[in-house]
Amino acid sequence: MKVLPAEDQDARLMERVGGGDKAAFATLFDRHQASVVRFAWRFVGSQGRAEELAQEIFLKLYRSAKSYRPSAKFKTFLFRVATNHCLNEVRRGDYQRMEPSKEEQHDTSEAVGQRPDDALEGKQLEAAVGKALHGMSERERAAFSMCRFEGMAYREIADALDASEAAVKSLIHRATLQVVKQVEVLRAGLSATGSEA
Amino acid sequence: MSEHHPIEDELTAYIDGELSELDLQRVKAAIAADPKLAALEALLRSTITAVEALPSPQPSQALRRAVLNGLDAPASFRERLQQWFRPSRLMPAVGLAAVAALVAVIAQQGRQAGPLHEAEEEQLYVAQNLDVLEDLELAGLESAEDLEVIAQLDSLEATP
Repeated sequence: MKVLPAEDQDARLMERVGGGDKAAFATLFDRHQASVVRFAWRFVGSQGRAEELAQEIFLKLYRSAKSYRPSAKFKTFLFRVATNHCLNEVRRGDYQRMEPSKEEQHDTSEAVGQRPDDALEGKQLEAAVGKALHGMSERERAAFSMCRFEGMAYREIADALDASEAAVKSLIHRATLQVVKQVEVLRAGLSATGSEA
Repeated sequence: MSEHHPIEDELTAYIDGELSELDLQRVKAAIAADPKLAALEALLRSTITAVEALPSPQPSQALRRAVLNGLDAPASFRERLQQWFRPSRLMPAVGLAAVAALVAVIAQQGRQAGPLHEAEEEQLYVAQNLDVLEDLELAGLESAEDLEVIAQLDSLEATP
């Protein structure tokens, strides 16, 4: 059995949540809400739906806190819950991954670059990533999102997905190739538009 | 169509720093020897860097309010049903029987083969800590009965 890492304060907070400590839950929520929303957003492609899923995930976490055993890093445990919840909801048919609408494509002009050309590239890159995510299998999408946007190691992702590290390596590679392909399509489109102008 | 280089499948893990030292050296050597592989590695690396720098949405304040206000709300019918069909409620007898059978098998093996092997000790430990099954349930790994109930949840919810 794995031993709880001393630095995993989240696991200790979760144990307190199991004892009914709402303040401990609020601390955990504040620490991890952005990650869970980001993950769910990448999964379903809509911020509104992502927040609905995040709400359900956190409430599920709270109601099941008594059965929590700190046998794994808390973040891995949380993402196992989040992944299963998102997969189940998508498979139930309540949520299908949507390509982000124009209104929901985030303004990346400040984060990606200051020059107009850079900003344009950021928005288009986001669109290319959205298309690639849309075409991925659910497990590829989950593994890719945990790796690229949450910075999780392959071992942690394997634990969250209940898969082998070799399988995760393959999922992430295939998913990354799909993004590269969409970026290449985008670049080819831009070149064609540029040569027409 | 270009030939698929077997090292190609290792490139993403190479960029992510997820290869063993031995594999790392193997991939490095292959990249140094093959310009096409080097070009693909550069393309993957630049794409990964750009993707990881993309901004993400910030959760709304409404989410925080909804979650914290929802802590005292009763669970939905579906959640209550899932709670009812938890392995710890549904199968205590099955669990006890499994423990007894496991202990009997291991004891028998112990008589035949002397000291317990490490894997067997691990199995005993698992048997003594069956409550970790609840973690599996929380993570969505249900028993066969649970899976059947969950598969029928929509029709159960629709039933007045």
